[in-house]
Amino acid sequence: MPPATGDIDRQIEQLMECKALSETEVKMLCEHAKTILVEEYNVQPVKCPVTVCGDIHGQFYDLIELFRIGGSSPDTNYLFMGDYVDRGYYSVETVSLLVALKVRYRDRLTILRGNHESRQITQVYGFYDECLRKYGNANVWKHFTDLFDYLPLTALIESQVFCLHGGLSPSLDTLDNIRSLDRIQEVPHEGPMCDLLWSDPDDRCGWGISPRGAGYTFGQDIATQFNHTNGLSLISRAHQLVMEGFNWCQEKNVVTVFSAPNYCYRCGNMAAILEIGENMDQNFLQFDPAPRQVEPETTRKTPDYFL
Amino acid sequence: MGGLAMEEMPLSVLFEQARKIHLAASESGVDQDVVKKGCEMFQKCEDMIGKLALFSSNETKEDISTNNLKYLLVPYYLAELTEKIIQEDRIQIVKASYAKLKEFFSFCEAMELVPDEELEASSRGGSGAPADRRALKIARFKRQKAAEAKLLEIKERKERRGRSTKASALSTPVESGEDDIPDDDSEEEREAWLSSINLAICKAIDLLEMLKREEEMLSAIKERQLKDGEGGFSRDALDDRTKKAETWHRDAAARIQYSKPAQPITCATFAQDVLEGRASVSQGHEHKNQPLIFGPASIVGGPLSTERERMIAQVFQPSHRMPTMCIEDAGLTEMNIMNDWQEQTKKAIEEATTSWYNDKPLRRKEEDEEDDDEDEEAVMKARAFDDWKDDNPRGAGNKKLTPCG
Repeated sequence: MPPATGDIDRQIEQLMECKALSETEVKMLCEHAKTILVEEYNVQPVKCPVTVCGDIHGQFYDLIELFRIGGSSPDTNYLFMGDYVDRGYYSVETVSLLVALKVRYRDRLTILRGNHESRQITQVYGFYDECLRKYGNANVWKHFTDLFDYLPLTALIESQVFCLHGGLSPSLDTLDNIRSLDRIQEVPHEGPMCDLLWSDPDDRCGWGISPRGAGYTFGQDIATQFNHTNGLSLISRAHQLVMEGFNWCQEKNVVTVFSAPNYCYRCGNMAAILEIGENMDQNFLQFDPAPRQVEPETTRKTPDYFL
Repeated sequence: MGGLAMEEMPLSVLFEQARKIHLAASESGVDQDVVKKGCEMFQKCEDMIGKLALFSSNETKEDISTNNLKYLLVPYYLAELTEKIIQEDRIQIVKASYAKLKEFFSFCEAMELVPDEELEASSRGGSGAPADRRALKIARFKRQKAAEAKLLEIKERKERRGRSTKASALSTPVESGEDDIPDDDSEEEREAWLSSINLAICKAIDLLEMLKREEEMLSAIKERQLKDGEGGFSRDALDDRTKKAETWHRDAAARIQYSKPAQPITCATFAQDVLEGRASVSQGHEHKNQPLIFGPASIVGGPLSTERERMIAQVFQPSHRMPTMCIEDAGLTEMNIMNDWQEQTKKAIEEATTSWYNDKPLRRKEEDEEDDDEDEEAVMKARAFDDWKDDNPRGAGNKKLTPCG
């Protein structure tokens, strides 16, 4: 049973104040979101105008700042290219809000999968710990990571701009190849699905071994060929910290968008989002960290009556 | 075991029986009692050899009779068998075995049985270039294989002859050529025992190395044990890290009262300042996150004065590994990795593009030519790409259009 619209609206309102949902609410929300995401494509078609965003990494107040700069959802259409969780203090609130918005306005918001939307990665980089801290058990983490398996891998704006988290894969020459992947699973350690979420563009030609230990690096020749074969004008991706928030490379065949300002509250980088207008015109909006950055209570207490 | 008591056995019988135990022990492993018995027998052999004065230090291998040659192996067998004894204080075993092997080795040395290269290596004390050590090891392995092959060959020859003599004895009861057989036999036996000794030398050198290393390890552990003052080293070693981590988390309960984490960077313009070089990230703040504290409210944040409270605080421990660095440090680490990568790429590109004609201003005049060359190259590239495009029409990979969401 999908929850009533009013319920979701209330939840969104609560989440906008950075107040996490209850465990049952998260469960319902994830169940509902699954039914929506399962119908989406590996290459999810998206219409313009749309605003493309990169990594958020649990920096909730910066996400709110992003909505302030780019326009609130659903007034503005958004496309998020993954990495909502880990690192920041508010992974739970961030991913809850995005999923709630997706459930409420499914045609106005597209959320893709990043390499951090995975069971293994979240256990190491903070989301798992945060769920334990905020809920006292790992159920919420389980609900969300189960949901992550359903997220689409890539999106295609008006058959021209190809959006994904990481980059290209040597085993995927065409969008049709990507469409034939069986995506509803944990991100594998290797193979085409892993590459899409892990690869990076590189100044060297051809394919290279990625220093990350997963995915590949791809050169301009690869990107040019891919864009030609698939009739694309641009590959838009996230995955890499860039100081200005966005970074053109490979003779404007590829652009990196990173939307977590002052990444990890320390890196001092700017964030950016890419507005794609009604005529496919591109405009980057840069922004600084939100003024309000309150660190949550780091102590978990068990009531005394447990003893 | 034979009917005779050990004291009454002649040396040859005692040696044969002990050798059988050694063989069984090294092939399949036998009962500890049998191993100990074997050791005793070899020790008895040693005594007897000493009393009989079979060997003298002023003779070499040529002077030893075939019959006595095999007794050279006694200390080697004893060392190998001793090493197989299981007891609480392993270090004693290792030391005893090591001493016996050394004895065997130096006696073989005196008898001129050890190859020169091994002697050289042992005089250097096991050090030397890795390549030399490797070559030595390979040579030793080859010698070992050769000795093994030789032993097998002799054994087979013996068996064959045994069968044929049996057959000939059956068919012709006449004594035929019996005179040369014993002679041949003794020559063969000598060869066999020499091969066995060569094999034993190879194995002894390897075992010596291994025992030496084991002794070092055991002494290191013992030393640490003495320092810690308590037994159970293996458990200690394994639990050491876990314990350390647990202590850290437990103590954090007390620490957290005094060390409130600093506020994260809150100034919206700070990032811009960093970007434009007016501020450095580290001057923002020194943020050190304390780990999460698990436990009842009265314990967390309260003083852990009694043992009971300490124990309660220990009960509520996370079931998973806790983070080892705070978010800020992790972010910085990630940024440094990114920067390194970008710099490396830049360097690689520079190296690739800085070719000889860029370094030599003398060649300026030919630049036009160069340009032509470059143009040509670009044209070739473009042409290749055009050819490729002919084979791969634009948009061919995006046929299965899906409706817009």
